[in-house]
This record gives sequence, structure tokens and C-alpha cells, in this order.
Amino acid sequence: MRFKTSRGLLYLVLVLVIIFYAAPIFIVISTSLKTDTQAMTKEFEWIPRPLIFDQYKTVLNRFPIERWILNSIIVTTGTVLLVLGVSLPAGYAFARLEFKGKNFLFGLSLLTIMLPFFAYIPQLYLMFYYLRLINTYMALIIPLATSGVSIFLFRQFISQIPSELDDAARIDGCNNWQIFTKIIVPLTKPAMVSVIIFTAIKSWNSLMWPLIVASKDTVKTLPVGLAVNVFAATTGVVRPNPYGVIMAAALISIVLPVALFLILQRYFVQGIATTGLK
Amino acid sequence: MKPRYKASRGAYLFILPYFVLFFAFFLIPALLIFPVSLTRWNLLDSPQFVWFENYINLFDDQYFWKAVKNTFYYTILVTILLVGLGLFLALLLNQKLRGRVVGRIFVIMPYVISSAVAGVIWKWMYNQNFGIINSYLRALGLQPLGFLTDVDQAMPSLVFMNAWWSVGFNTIIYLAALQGIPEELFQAAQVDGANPWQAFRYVTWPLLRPITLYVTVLCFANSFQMFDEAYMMTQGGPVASTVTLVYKTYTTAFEAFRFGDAAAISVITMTFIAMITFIQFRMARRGAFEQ
Repeated sequence: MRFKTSRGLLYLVLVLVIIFYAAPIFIVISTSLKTDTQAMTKEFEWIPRPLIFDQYKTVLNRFPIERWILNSIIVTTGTVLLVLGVSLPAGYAFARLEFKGKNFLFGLSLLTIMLPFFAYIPQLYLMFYYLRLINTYMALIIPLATSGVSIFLFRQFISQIPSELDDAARIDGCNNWQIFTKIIVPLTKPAMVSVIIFTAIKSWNSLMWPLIVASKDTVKTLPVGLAVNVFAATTGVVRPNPYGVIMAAALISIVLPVALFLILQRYFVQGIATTGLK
Repeated sequence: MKPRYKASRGAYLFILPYFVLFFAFFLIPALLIFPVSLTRWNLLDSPQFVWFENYINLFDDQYFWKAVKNTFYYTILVTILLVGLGLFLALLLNQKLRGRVVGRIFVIMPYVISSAVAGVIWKWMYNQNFGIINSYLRALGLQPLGFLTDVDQAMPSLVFMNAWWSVGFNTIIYLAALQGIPEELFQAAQVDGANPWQAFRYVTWPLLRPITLYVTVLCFANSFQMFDEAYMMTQGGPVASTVTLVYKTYTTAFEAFRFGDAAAISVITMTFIAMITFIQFRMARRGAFEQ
């Protein structure tokens, strides 16, 4: 849209928007560099005097935060790999192959989209409880891989690849598995970017399920560690305002996702946009 | 016509891995919800069959109805906020302005921050005594607000935090949709003497309708399941003013260990979601016929 009205006003709005979205990050940084008493002032100090780095030391000494980050990385990577591993072949089969019960099974997989995760969480917990898988990575990874969203996306995407490619390969003597790995998978990259990004975000941010199944530090993911061990202090009465420590922990935990976002920005935006414009 | 292959070789092997997980970790737990909702069960003792007692108890429980009300209140507010603001930001960031790239980065970035961290950042900003918002309100000579500590302000505060945290998703979707609109349409509108508002009203908005429906349905479904913000920022308080249906399911199952009651809440919540989705699609279909 190119209309030459009120550019000045547009710039003013843009600046206000940037301030609104950037400010909380600077508040985190600023608070993390204060002592508890410095943080408890009626007027907010943007640049703390003096700058204190003790809060970071406290976080690293008191909490196994690096272990939680490692766990989160393992769980997120595991979830992404499992989702790709099960839904890419299934998406291919539903798009290209003929077999009995195909439509019924596809419809069945869509049930996972209609039935919200929370609704069967207590029953899912019972499953893992009886399988003795509570406090394992498996318990954190598997439930996110049953979602049919990625199958749906892959099926849509693969249906749009011209089937002449398959036919040509078939004439050259390729079987279904070879067609899948040599022709379909390489052409599915844009859809894979999409699935990787939304699965990774879902898994990395996941809170309720890990709260239920991960109580040991050996498997605890970052959001649970923060929520249960670090932030819970905010509701306590012992130290009414340990926001210095909390903001230091918050900053440590957003470094990785924010850095990845800045590096992979283009893929990130493209990945989310494709889910909307199927 | 596509050539039809009769039962492709090894087709089932392609879907087998998914369906193993599907049956064990989706279908069985999902089918168990209703039977479990008819029992009294604390996990330690064996379940006791009680017919519809859990449902009857819920209908008498004023806190349950409060959770229903809270959930609808939150969902409607968040959906309006996120769809409206998402569209507004996309329109702004789609203008040929210097600094729009920086704008896009900052608007989208909070979306990668986890709910746990985002929640605690806003809890600090909303802090009654030392939070930044009240510090500026005081500086402007205004009354400081209670935010999360006030029964009436707590839920709107949780809603507003989403304007920062999760609006990026809708913004990206709207931006992509806007970039798909051919420039010629706007040139044509300009030639016809349309002002920016008319160009939006008669060119952009009608073309964005399917996307608006998509983000609205998605927002509604997601926010109806709100848990994280309440858990991180208010623990359901003050006076149960931020307890949502999912939050209640969680506390009933995993704090009170009443699995039967939790399953009954799940069944009712799912009924609500099914009804809303049905109405939304009916409305969408009617809208499509009107055009």
C-alpha cells in the first residue's frame, strides 16, 4: 500500500511499538544486574548503579540450570526427530499409496487435532505410570509425537508434488521406499521447516505435562526447573522480592531460543507462514 | 486421472510407527476419559464406580461455574486482542517504513520465549510495589493499580500479557497474507480515488477474511485451554478469579488426586469446545455464502 498520508504518524506508532516489545527484555537485563535491595525501589532504575553480577553467580551455584537446559535440548531434539520420523512416512503413504482403510485411518489421525491434549492428560499420566516411565525422557518426548497436525501438513504438501516424478522413478525400478527417500523427502524441505519449527517451540515451551512427569533434576526441563525451583520463590514469604536472581535465571534461559530465532529468522517466519496458508 | 495402484507394497509399514504411538498414547488414554469420569479414584485405591456423581457434584460446585465463566471471559478477550492487534501490527509492519525490519524482529521475538519466562517477566512488571508499570503510574501522579493482586484486574492482566508474548504468531500469518495481495489492486483503488481507509475496507479486508477465520478459530481453541499464565502468575488467585477449566482439571487431578472428577471436567470442557467449533464453522459457512 503506498499512500502518502501521515508518514510522521506511522513512524511515531512504529517507534512506540518497538519500545513496547523491546522494553521487557531491557527490564530483565536491568533487574538481573541489581541486588535485591536495589530492585526494591519505587522508581524503576534502567541502568543500575552499581552494576552487580552476583545474581548470575547465585543462579549458577544454587540451581542446576545448565542441566535443565541440556534436558530441554535433548527433549526438544528428540521430539522433533520422532515427529519427523513417524509423520513424514505416514504423510507420504496417505498422499500417494493405496491401501485398505486409508481414509478411515487418516480421519482417525485427525482426531488428535480435535481432542485437546489436556483432556486426556490424567489418563496419559496413568499410562506412563503403569509403564514405569515417569521421570524419563521418553515420557517427555512421546506424547507430543502423537499429534496428527504434521501428518496433515505433510500429506497436503506431498499431494502437490507432481506424481509424474514417482512414475518416472517407478519405471526406473524404484520401489516405494526408494521413491520416498530419494524423491519425496528432498522435495518436502519447506514443510519440514514448518514442522520442525512448530514442534520445537511446542516442546521447548511445554509446561503442564513436564510439570507432571518430570520432578527429578536429571530429566527436568528448563520451564519446570524455573517454575518449580527458581520462580516459586516469588510467591514465598521468606524472601519477598528475589527478582534479581529470577531475572538472571530468566535471561540465561532466553539466550538460546532468542539467538536461534535471530539466526534462523527467515526460516522461522516462513515456517509459521506456511502453516497459515495451506 | 492419476494411475491407481492396487494395494501398494509395504504401505502399512509407512504408517505403522505413527499408529503404534497413536494407539498406545492417544487413543487408549482418550477412550478412558469417559469411563474414568464415572468413578471415584485417587490412584492408590482401585477405582470405585459412582455413575454420574462426579457430574452432579460439579454442577453444584460454584467454583466450577466460576472456572467456566473465567475461561469464556479470558478466551473472548484474548481472541479479540490477538486477532485485532495481530492485524494492526501486520498492517503497520507491511508499510514501506525505515526500521520495519527491526520492528518485525521485536514483535515476533517474544513468541520464542517460553510461557514460564514470559509469565514471570510480566509478574515482575505488574508487581504492585516495585513493578515498572506502577512506578510510571506513580510518576505521572496516578493511583498505582493492583494488577495480579486485584480480583477484577487479575484476568485482564493475564490477557494483556499476551499482547506482548504471543501476538507474533498472528502477525506473521497476517503479514504473509498481506504480501500475497497483488500490488495492482491497490493501484487500481488509488486510481479510483480511494483513501487508505477505503482501500483497506474494500480491498484488504475482504481478501483477508479466510485468514481471519483461520486465526480466530486457532486463537479460540488455544486460549480455551489456558493454563500456563495462570500457573505462572497467579496460581489461580486471587479468590479463584483466574482459575480456568484446564487449570481446575490440573489441580483436581494432580494436587487433589481426584482423577474421576478431573475426567468429568475434561468431558464437559470438550463438550464446550466441540459446540464452539461447530458454531464457528456454521458462521463461517454462512459468511462464505453471503460473499
